Amino acid sequence: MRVLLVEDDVMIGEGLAAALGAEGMSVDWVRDGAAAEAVLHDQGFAIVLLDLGLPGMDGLELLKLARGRSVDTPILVITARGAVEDRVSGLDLGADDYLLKPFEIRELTARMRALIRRRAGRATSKLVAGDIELDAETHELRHGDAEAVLSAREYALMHALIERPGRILSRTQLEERIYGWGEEVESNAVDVLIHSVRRKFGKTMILNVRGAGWMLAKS
Amino acid sequence: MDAREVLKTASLRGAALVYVTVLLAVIGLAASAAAYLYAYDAATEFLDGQLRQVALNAGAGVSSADAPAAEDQDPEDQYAVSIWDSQGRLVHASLPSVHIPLQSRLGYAKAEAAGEQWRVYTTRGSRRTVQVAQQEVVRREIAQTAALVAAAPVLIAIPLAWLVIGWAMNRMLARLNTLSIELAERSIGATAPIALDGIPAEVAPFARSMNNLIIRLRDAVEAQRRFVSDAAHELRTPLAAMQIQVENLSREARGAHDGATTALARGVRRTTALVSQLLHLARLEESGAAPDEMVDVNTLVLESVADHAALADRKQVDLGLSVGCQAVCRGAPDEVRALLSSLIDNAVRYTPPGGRIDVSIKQPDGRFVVEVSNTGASLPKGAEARVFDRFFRAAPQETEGTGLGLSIARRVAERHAFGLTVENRVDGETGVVARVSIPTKA
Repeated sequence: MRVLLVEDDVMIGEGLAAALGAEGMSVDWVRDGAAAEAVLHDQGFAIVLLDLGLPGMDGLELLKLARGRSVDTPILVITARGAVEDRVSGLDLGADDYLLKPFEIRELTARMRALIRRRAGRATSKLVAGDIELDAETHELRHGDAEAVLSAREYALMHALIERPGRILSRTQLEERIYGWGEEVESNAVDVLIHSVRRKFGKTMILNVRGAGWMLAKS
Repeated sequence: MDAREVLKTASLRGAALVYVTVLLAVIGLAASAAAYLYAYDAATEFLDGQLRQVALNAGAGVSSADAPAAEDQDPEDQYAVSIWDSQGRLVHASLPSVHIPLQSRLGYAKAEAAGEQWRVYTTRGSRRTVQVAQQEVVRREIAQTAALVAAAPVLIAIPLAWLVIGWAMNRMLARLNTLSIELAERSIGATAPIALDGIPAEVAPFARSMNNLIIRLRDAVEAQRRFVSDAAHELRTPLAAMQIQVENLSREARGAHDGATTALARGVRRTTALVSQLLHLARLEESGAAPDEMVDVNTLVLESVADHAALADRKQVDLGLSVGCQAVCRGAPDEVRALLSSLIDNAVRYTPPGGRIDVSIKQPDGRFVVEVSNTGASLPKGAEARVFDRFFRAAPQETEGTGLGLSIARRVAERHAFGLTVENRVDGETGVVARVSIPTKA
């Protein structure tokens, strides 16, 4: 997988090239807007990592130029400019995503993969939150080393939770998602389901917030 | 307070009163003195003429000395007419009780008799000598009356001047009073110049200088904020480089220096948190009034709790939420979220494993109250007042934190006119309770 890295800072450029190389990507690194412009048309890049503060041609300008010439390689902006306006104008000009420096490599590669996947239009049947993976076809749940096929109700519970990781769902919200209209719901039905999932995957996978509900950690 | 003190305390009104009073008094005295002198001279000339006429016309048949004085005649006004014959014998004295000796010199003279000053005119014919005298006090009285009449208008003018000056000054100074109230009520962040309309022309330059000062101060404060913001911003790039290099290092040197690279990574993470909070705070200081959007407080509380649930779980802290009402307010959702988040973040940091955090949304007496209380150490004595200070950390040293969270929280609370307190619990548990009180008017 070829990656075009447009970054003027030597330390970051070298570091990223090494880190991404270790992930099995081959990185073409250019250090200013003009050089980037020259190679933008190369269709071989799977993704462009673009710094905004560049000498010569500003990153936003380059972005505009690229989209104007209908270069449709996914562009992930990596920048130290954190103001909301910068973010908005970056996305308005056609950036696919925006990552604020400093960031963890893990975060960067996850976003790169997501962008590439999205561009490829590859639909995945897997729902992921952190190290939890739920397969919508097989109803298989994987968490760390544990792996098991869920019952229909357990699957409905986990599906509701994994759709919005980091968000708390109340008992009522979970019941609505798990049970159909008019179905009789035992008052402790949700607790029983959660207990049975936890028994297979450990107590810490589903977080409980007393008085509010249950959730999965974001990452 | 005497006049000198009034002038020293630099009261415009007092000074004007003192100066005008002194001026009027001087004018009054001068007018009075001049009137006295003129009237005295005029009276002298006139009365001397009369003395002379009486002396020249006093014939042999002057009325007898014992003729009674007219009833309504002031004794002071009486002429004393004395006539001597050629042998020097006193043949007539109109006021026998008054003995004015015969003057040696003819014409006008002054004499003293019966304890009074007299003006005397002496004339000598072939057979007799006539001497007419009148009390000096008559002339003085005329002059005094004139002086009094001259001084009277000025004397009346003094209290009138006080009234008028007092009134006029009050009118002029009223605008200054309004101005000082405006200035006193100005918020520290207000940067609009002082309105100059209605300010007395003499004071306008002062107000203008003040405006210049406000502008310079604003620029200085602005520059300061920009510096913090720029510095935090500029730090992001080298931090990003460090972050990447540390990760590369820990990948390549796996096993060999795990402890060191983990510590290094933690240091970078901590610096990153500090920089982003600094930037956050600088941005809050920079922006003017808080935005005016509907804020769903309950949702923000729920999200903030969710954001910290994983960390609380890892620390084995029991995090709970109790929702007693639906709270809404007006403001900036991002900022309110940052406020709530920093309170919950603090609670999670400071609660020891096995402890408990209760987040609640209530509506006692008209206001919405979001309360975050935790079990754990109490704030040390004196720390309650300082928890909002930048970089102040009541924490045991092993607790990681930037010391900026509560500064950010307070700044957001100020911008939204929320009440914010952080204090030790008084409900029997040891620990700390943070309370945000939100006005209900939407």
